Amino acid sequence: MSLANVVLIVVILAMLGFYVWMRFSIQKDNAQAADYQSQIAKEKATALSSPDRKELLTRQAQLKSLQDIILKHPYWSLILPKLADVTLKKANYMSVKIESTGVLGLSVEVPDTEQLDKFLQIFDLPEYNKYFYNVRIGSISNGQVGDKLLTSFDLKMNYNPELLKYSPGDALKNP
Amino acid sequence: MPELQTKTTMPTIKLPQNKNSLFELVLLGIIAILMFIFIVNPKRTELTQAKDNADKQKSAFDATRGEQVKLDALVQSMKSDPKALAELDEALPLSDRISRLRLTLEYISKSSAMSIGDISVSGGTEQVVSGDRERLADPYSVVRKLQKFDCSMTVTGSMEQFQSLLQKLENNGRILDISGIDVSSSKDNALQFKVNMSAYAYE
Repeated sequence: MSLANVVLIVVILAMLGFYVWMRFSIQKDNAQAADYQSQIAKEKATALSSPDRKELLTRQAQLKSLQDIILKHPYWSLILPKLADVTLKKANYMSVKIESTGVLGLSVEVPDTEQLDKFLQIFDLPEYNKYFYNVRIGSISNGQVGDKLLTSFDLKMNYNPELLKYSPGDALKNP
Repeated sequence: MPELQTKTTMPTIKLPQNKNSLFELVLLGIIAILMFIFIVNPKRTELTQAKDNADKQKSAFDATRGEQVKLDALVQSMKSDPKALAELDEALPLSDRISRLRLTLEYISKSSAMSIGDISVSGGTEQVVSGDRERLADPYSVVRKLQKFDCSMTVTGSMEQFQSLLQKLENNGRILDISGIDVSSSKDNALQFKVNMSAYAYE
């Protein structure tokens, strides 16, 4: 028998040995995979049956909803002081209607038309115009209350929605 | 008598020694190649797949274990802060009764020293507000969603009192979103305020 034949026989035997080893390895790997699968199933079943998990999921959804609401939470107490700033001393508000759509309606009484004009001029000033703008006048009427002559009028205007948003600086004014 | 000898001879093919050796070599080579192609190589592919699958399952198991640890930690964190849970339940209750909301609004109005004219709460007339067996048996199994209740409150008082009321409403533990304010003068020179707002529950 030549040396080449011996080498080939050794190669064939080695391949057979390798085959047997692979067969056992595959069996071992498959068993291991099946074991992991069963452990995963067991872990999942344990987690799903945990009574705390349901509460946790509910709490998470509850917290998420709350966060969404808080982000849009308006602070209306901030708008009234700003409205007071644009009010003339001689003007009286008969009614104020503020809607979340950004529209503000006012019924105002002033002593005369000159005061009405002064009242309207305020909204042209930049420091006030940034909060209240696009002022529309509805009706003007003159009437007498007691011994006083008064000019009444209705206004509609837009207000800056930023007025309803909380800013850290407001914490000092609005604890 | 001459001895009769019968001798049978089988015909044999005699190859030269070197040709025989070459034949065996070729045969063994073919066997080795065929064995590699049809037996060893497919098994090797199968082994690679089995190893990949085992690795994949191990990764999945590790991930599941990691998630379980995370879940345990979250549960632990949730259980360890009952005060935060109470605040969460106050801000956005898991079950709401209209009576509770009315009580809150009445309390806020009174604490601002304002006279309460009217409080109305709408929404959920067909809703079970008490004695819900399903919820009582397993409060966290029911499917919940965010519910919104529209309410309005009419109060009488001064502008300063109203400003205080607004601050209490917007800083209240239970979230109340004001959606409109209507101010008008009432008969006895006091101001009448109507506040429209929304309250929420996760139920």
